[in-house]
Amino acid sequence: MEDRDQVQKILDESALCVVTMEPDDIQALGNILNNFDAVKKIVEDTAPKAWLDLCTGLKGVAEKMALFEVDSPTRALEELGKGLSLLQETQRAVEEDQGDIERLCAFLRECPYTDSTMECVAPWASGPEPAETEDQSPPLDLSQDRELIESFIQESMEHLSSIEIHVLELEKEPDNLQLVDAIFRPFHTIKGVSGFLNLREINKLAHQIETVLDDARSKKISVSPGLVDIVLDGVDLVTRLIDDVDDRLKTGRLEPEYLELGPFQERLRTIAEGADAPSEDVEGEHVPEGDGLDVGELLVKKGVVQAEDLEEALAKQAAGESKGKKIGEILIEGKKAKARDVAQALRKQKTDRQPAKAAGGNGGGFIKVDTLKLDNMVDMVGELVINEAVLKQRLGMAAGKDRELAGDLAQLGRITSEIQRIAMSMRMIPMKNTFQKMIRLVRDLASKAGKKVNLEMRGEDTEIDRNVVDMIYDPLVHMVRNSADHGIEIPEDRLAAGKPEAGTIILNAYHKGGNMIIEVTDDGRGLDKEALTAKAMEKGLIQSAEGMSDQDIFGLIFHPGFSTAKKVTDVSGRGVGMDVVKGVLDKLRGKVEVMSRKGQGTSILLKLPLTLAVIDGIIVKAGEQSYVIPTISVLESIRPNREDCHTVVNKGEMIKIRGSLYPLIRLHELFDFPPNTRDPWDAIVVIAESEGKQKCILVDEILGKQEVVIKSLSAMLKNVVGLAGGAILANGRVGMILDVAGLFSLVESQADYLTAS
Amino acid sequence: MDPNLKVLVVDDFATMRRIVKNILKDIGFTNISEAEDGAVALKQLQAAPVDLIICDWNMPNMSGLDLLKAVRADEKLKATPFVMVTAEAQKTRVVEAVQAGVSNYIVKPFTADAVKEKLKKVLG
Repeated sequence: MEDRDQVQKILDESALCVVTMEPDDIQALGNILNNFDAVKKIVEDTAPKAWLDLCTGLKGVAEKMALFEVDSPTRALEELGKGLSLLQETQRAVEEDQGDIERLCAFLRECPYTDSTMECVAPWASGPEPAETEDQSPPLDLSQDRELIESFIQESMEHLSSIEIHVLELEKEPDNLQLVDAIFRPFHTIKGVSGFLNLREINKLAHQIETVLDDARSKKISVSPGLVDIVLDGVDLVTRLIDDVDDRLKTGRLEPEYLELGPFQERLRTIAEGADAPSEDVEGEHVPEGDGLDVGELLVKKGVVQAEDLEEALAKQAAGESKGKKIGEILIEGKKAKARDVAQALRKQKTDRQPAKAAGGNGGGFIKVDTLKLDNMVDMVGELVINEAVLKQRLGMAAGKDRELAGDLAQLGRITSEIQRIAMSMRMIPMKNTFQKMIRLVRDLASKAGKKVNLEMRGEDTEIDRNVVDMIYDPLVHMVRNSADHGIEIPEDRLAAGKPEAGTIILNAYHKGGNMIIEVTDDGRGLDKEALTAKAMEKGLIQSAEGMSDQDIFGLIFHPGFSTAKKVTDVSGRGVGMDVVKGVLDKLRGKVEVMSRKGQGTSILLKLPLTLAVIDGIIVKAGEQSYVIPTISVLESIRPNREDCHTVVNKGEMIKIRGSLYPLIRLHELFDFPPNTRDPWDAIVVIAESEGKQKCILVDEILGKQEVVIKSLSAMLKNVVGLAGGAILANGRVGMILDVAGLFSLVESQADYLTAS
Repeated sequence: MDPNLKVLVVDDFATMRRIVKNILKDIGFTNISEAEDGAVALKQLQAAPVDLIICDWNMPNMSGLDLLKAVRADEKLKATPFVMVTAEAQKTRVVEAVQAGVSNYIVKPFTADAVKEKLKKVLG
């Protein structure tokens, strides 16, 4: 009786709702839908089928209304109302009255909105393909918010690289549905937004890939290597399409690049149709299994297996009675557990062992800041630091007498350096993303060359200046390519050399003494010193290998046009690469070191400044000017003896230091100012190095060493060769930072000019 | 529609949030905040309720549907108009959202007019 009252109450409420609501009031429809569910649940077992059918039918009508699938919402609402009152009327009498049942059935038959087959659930079935129009993507409509497309491009690229990482993880753990989800979601989003921006090709492709992923997500198809490959290819294609949009946006080109998508779509279709059976064969014999003990424990914990039975089975296994059999199989054979339970336990064991996914960052939120603003701030903080130094120098004397002033100054100093630290850290990002991009690279290289290569990453969280990261990417690619392509041997050779079949490349990043070190190490064949020197002599880079240290020999690989690879592959070994690494490192004021042992592997070490905004400089004085020479380029400074200064025909002034001659650079001649001292033996020469060449720079005195904030020069001075920028020195005056490489080339071009004339 | 109403746009894709925001601005709303997933949105809502939520379905951490359920279960928030943004392929699941008490939903890709019309209905 109570049930009936309750049903009556719900029906009354729904009827009232129908009378008062607008036909497109989604929330009201939601209430009605819930009411139908509630009613059906209560009377499921007691009410006659016809009555329940009408409930279901009417619920279907409400659903269709909510989905805007009815031709006339007003009429549908009317029908809904009529149906509801019929339900109300018959609710109490229906059990006895055959006539009522007739009325219910008649209504169901006649109502135009109820589904006669009662299948009113999935009105949309599966997702329809976005309109299949044959015309290729239309000219990009730039009248749309250009910024919007730009941000779409940027964001999509971020998503695509995250997809790539997840796909590669998925390859290792094909059962991890969370990963499938993490891959599905960004594709879905890219599809959605590209639809808005009328980027039809991207939209279509993303939709197709999404569909396949959705099938994988709902376990309609299994995660096979084929699926992984196709998703990776899909990432590449979408990336190319987006690149094309980017290019069109920049160049104003109207025609899209033609991309043959047919074969890819064909493959997608095969994947989607091909494997329709889920991979897990629950009843099968081959239950994949890890550590037997854990599975047993899981089963005991779940109460599926008794502890004694497990022990028995373990004993059997140990006694060799069921030799080679997995604990799960023994339990199933002994009828102690069902295959399904074992499979479940196995799956659980697998998921348990996965490192806990970082579920939702609890490290607070993020905001995106224009890098320009950040650069400005770092600049201003630099000013602050210098101003603080100036102030300290000015007040130094007074502070000696005034303890309070000294305290205040010290406090100011602490705060300033803390602000500087924070400001610098804001531009720092972890190496992680850059390292992770190498995963794909190594995978592709290895599979192309038929090698097995493991990539290990260490110190991915080490942070480095954003700008440095961008610039370090290419060199890193070259180095990893070299390692995978030339370093690591093919499996047969490795086995023959007594090494494990799979080679290892280790990426390591760490801070050391104010520098960032990035190491790429492989356990491959190592550099062949003889081959290197022979090649260098053949190319005329050196006359003989005599007296060359290991470092010198290894340094040869950085010469432009130097490559020892016997075979030119399509990925590396074109004779470019390592000189690019060197070039970028010079630009970054960093250093490269190579260590290698034949047969055991190679390690290349990049030493980078933590940030580009500050450099460590030697402050020198020439004439009335102060110059900053980057410390990393300075080898030593000496006052030469008079007899060591020579003038060589066609080469100009040279200074002899420990038996070698070094050209002399006179700053006062290059930059045209009156010098204080003209004779090197009365002054000081600083020996600077760039790109393997050493020259002496004549200066009056060395003032000291200081960290300076690099200020870029104004447009008028920007093109002056030999100057890298300006800096405010501790005494408050401006000093020019010398660009050693530029200085050298300036001198050389002048020397050439002299010789020519 | 009162342009001073506080609107929260929830979507994990920043570009999508911008699209929605631009449309809202066209309609005249000025007081718009954003959240990048359901969990973040819920935290924000609990701290400061809004007058309208426009929310994507597919998001990491907490999906739009879960956010909807959480909002409807929260005494303070439960009356907040909640508009779900959904892609075509998920229409079958729209019923689920409807039953969870969504105020209305918008199917992607949508036009500014469609949004305007839906919001009119929701906000009365």
